[in-house]
Amino acid sequence: MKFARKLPGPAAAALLALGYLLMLLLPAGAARLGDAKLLSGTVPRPVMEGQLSARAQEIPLVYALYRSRVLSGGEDFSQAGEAATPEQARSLSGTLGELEDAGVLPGFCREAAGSIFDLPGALAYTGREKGFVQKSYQGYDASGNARSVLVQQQEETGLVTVCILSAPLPAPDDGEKTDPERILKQYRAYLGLDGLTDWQKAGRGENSAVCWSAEGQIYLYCTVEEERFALGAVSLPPEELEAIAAGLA
Amino acid sequence: MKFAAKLTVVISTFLCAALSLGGSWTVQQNFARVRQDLLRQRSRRQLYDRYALETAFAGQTEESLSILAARYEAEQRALTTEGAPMFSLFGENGTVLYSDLPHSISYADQQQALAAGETEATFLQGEGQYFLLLSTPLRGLDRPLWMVSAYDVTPQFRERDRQLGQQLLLQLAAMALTGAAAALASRRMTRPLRQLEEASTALSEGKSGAWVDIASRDELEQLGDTFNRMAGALEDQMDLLRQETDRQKRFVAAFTHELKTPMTAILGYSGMLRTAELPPERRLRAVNYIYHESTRLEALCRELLLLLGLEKGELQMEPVPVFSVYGEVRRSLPEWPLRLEWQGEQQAVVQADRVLLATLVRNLVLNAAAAEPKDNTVTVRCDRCDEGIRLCVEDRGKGIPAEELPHITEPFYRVDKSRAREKGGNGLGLSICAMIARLHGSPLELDSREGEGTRVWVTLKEAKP
Amino acid sequence: MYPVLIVEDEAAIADLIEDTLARLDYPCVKAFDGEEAATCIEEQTFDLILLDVMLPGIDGFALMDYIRPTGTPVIFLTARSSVEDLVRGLKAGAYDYILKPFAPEELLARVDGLMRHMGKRSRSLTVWGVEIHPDLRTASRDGKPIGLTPREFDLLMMLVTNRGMVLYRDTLFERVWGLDSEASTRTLDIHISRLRKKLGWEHQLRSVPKVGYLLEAER
Repeated sequence: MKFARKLPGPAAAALLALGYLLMLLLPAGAARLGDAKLLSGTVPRPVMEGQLSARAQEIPLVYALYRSRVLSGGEDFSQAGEAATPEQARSLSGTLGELEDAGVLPGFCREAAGSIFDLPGALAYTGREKGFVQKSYQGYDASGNARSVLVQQQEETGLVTVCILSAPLPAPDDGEKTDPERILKQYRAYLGLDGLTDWQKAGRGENSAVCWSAEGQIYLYCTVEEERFALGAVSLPPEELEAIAAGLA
Repeated sequence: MKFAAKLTVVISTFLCAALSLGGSWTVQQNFARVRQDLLRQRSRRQLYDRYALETAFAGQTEESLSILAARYEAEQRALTTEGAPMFSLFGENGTVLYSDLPHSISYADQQQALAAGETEATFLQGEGQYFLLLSTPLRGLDRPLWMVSAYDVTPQFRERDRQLGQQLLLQLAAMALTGAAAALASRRMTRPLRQLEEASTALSEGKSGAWVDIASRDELEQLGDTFNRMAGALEDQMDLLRQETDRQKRFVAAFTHELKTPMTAILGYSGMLRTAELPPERRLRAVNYIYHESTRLEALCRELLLLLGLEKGELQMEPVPVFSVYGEVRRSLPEWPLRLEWQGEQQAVVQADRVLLATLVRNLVLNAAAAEPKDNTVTVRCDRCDEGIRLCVEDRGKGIPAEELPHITEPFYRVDKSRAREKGGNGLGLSICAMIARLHGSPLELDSREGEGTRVWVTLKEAKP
Repeated sequence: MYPVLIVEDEAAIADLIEDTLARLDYPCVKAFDGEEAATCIEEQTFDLILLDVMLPGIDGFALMDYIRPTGTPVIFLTARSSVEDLVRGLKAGAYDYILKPFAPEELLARVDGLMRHMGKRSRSLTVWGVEIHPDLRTASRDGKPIGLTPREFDLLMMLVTNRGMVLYRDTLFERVWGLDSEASTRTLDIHISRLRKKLGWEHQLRSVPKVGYLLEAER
């Protein structure tokens, strides 16, 4: 900077100030450069947590459940029904029959459901949402107890994703058939979810069994009790599955 | 450049660089984070839109797709506060089935986004606005469909620019303040340097009493102390030089006087003699004066030459028996009315220049005689002492007043001026003695009391046998 | 007429001054140091004081304070030629100064000039009937002016100041005509004979063979 020595004071000071200003404008310049680079190419997207694996996405049911969960955050079964029609009863009955034919639903369930269809003054509801059909039928028996059957199906494949029966169930003659674990196993096969490899299961006592897959973010449950039969598949986020795993450990 | 200015510039430059780089990095990081958040949020949003569309399109014909899409868009516009989703739907071969994207996003841009795929995102700028484009395939449908969503990210860019502007202002302010503060501090801290400069200038101009007062408790204070010591030493040196010069001036003045006086007499009387015939007694007196003053001049010249020659310091040192020197001196004063006696060791032998030692003793003895000792005796004493052999000449004469004692060895200095001149002394005797003594490595020491007597001695090294 | 005080510690010079001034019949008193001088000044009155500056004891300048109240004029004798010393001396009240070494004639001329100037000497002197006025450089007998050339007057002054002593020829010539004169000493002889005629000093001004000239002193 020898030439700087020859400059008079004010000129040198002005030059210095200019230099500083340029230095301070560096961030703006860098930003512009960064922008230019940004706008000219593509940027990798961050990996989203909680996404289904590619394989799981190929299974339509798993994908549909997952999608449904993301969209709504859960199914709402609290729809009240209107006066039931015989078509609704038939529809429900047919669905249950399919399930029984698939070897999933124990026989007595269908019988118990049948009794509900005969109840006078029953309310039924049929709805479609996000690719799932919900059918519910509810009535009151002579004692005034509520009895209901609820079924949810994937519209596209017809697979039953929820089946809840609230009615006194006859005692099973074949203990094996009403083993929740066995039912669950059948159910899993029925749903075509055996492709997933990381199934974990747990039994919650004699009456219920659950199993889940973290990869598919799917949770299967089966409960067989005196007055209740529940079977279903629900998409759960990974953290909830972990909590369940930890809770049951 | 002034040192304070240098300091200020260095500090300011580093600050500026730090601010600039730091600011650049900060804004960059911020913006990158904002972008990542954007990407995450918008991807999630797009997924939502995609799932909704997938659900809506299930089992529908191709013709109804655009209507369904428009309906969805309208629904969402009513529902959300974010505004309506902007997206295009593409079938195979890039056919556009639906689009509500603004014109500033061209077909080419959308194709580019499609090509990038669902793992990449594209930013583009059009007509002053910034957009983020995300493309994703729709699953679970009979026909392949792609969706390109566009999101207006202009606010985020604007915010970043706003941050840059705000930062620039702050940095300018910081630079200005720091620059001023640094300048002030530098000036303050370099004040000692200015003090030193002023004191140095004063010193170089010969002003006495130049000193600095720096109490900064650092190296500058040490420098100040060193400077003061140096200034003090310099002044001492100058004083010594001045004293030396004064002494030389005094010597020349005294010498000139000593010279001019006999010259006056000689010229005056000889002038008289050659002008007119004087009566015999006047003539005799004139001639006598001429003779005496001439001898005086001669003695002066001789002694002066001796003194100047001694200054060269050429000695011929040899072992000299002191007693034999005494004998020499004694023999050179045959008709002396006073008594010269010896006391002390007769066997002492010293390392000395024989001739000079004899001159020394002779001069001292003559001086002692001129002091008119009461007992008409001058004593030469020789003793052994710690440092060597001490040779001393004593008398019980008039003595020398205490205030004159330090000056007595100065050339031409006479205590009793008129009398000494009468006796022919030039005032150089003691100077010569002092010089001889100094050449032998010892000072000429005197002890005298007025009215009682005087002792003059010199300490010589004993000669190794 | 009061005597001249010579304050000089060198005996040779004091005597030289005394001898020089004696030619013009100035009585002198000699003092060899400051104390002696002070005593003399106290006890006597002097027409003039010749003062050596470098005195033992009391400094010459210090003595000035002592002399000034008496109003006696002082001429300094000094070997120092530095301007400060001379100025100092003059400021102290000296009338004049003479540097050593000095030619006695010069001293004489200065002293004489001073004395006549101060009126302590008569402005003229009479020798063998001739009135001589040194300031006006005139000579006259019985009121009648005698015309003399400048050289003749200089020669006359030389003879008058050294009357009673035989003046050596060569020195006399040198003194009146100067050292560098190319004239021969014959001029001196001619001037002497002219003076004799003009002043009527045939008997008083005579030549001494092989020596020089003499102007007899009046008894």
